[in-house]
Amino acid sequence: MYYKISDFIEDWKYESESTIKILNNLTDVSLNKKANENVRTPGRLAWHIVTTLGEMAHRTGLTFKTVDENAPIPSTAKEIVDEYKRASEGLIQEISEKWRDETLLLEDDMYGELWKKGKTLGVLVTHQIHHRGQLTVVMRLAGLKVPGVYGPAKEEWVNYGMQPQE
Amino acid sequence: MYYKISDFIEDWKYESESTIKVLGNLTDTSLTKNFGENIRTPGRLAWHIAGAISELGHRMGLAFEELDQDVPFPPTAKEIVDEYKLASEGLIKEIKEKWNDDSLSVEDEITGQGEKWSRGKTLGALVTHQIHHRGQLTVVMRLAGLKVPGVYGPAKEEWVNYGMQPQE
Repeated sequence: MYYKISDFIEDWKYESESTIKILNNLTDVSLNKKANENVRTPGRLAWHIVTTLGEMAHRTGLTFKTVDENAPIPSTAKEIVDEYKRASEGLIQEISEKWRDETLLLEDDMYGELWKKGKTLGVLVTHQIHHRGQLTVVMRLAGLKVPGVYGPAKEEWVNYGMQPQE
Repeated sequence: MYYKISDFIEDWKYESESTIKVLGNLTDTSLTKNFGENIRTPGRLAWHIAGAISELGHRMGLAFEELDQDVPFPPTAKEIVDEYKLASEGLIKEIKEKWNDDSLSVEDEITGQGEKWSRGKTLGALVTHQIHHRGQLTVVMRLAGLKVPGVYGPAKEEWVNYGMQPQE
């Protein structure tokens, strides 16, 4: 639950920068790698992270431009990263222009429940973290490196003069 | 960033219940399944999720029983679930007893890099860190042939309960 626009913007800056760093490590050939019938491909997970920005935020009355939630997965990693950046910047710009801290207490119909906008922004963050965590594993399965999000990734411990954590 | 204890407790209730549901689907044999030299096993990820609670909690001055995640994870899923519950309940009980909303602006040294975080920020990090690794855990559990429950919406097998086709 967010009560201050500035808190959301600070969190989103950290989280979206982490997401962009991870998406930047995707390769075009990795997008369709299917590890298992019950596990989403890297492309599907990355695109779900992208399309959720518009899908969820538009339910709160925001109108920034982004792809439809059912748009097909692009064939290149660059298109996914570019669309993520466009949606993320659109979200932040429109909130900065149109909303005040008091706006966060207003409620919208969200999936059949009433949520305060401050709650919806919180879910936007946690939903992204959940699927981004999944994405890091399927990227590893595809042989890609991933950067650390809340601490060093396996290859990054050496930068702190430490052995990789098990 | 939390300003109210009640907001944290509400979020933690939802998040810890989701975590317990996911951990509840672990089997003993799945714990050590390795799917790549750069991917943690289900047991290691689950143990890290449980251990982070007292690790971060103690850096904020709380003293509920420590789970040392440097010791090898237990051989049974039940022990991991039990340790998670013990840590989660210990955290909430002690915060309720000892802190009020003003405590959330007290700062502690958290990262070892000289950076001070307010307790409201550290509690936020405890939540997001758990979500991140729990997301990873859901994938390695799928690779191990286990089902996982949905966290922020229906899991693959759960769409049918809403009269819908599974999402791609």
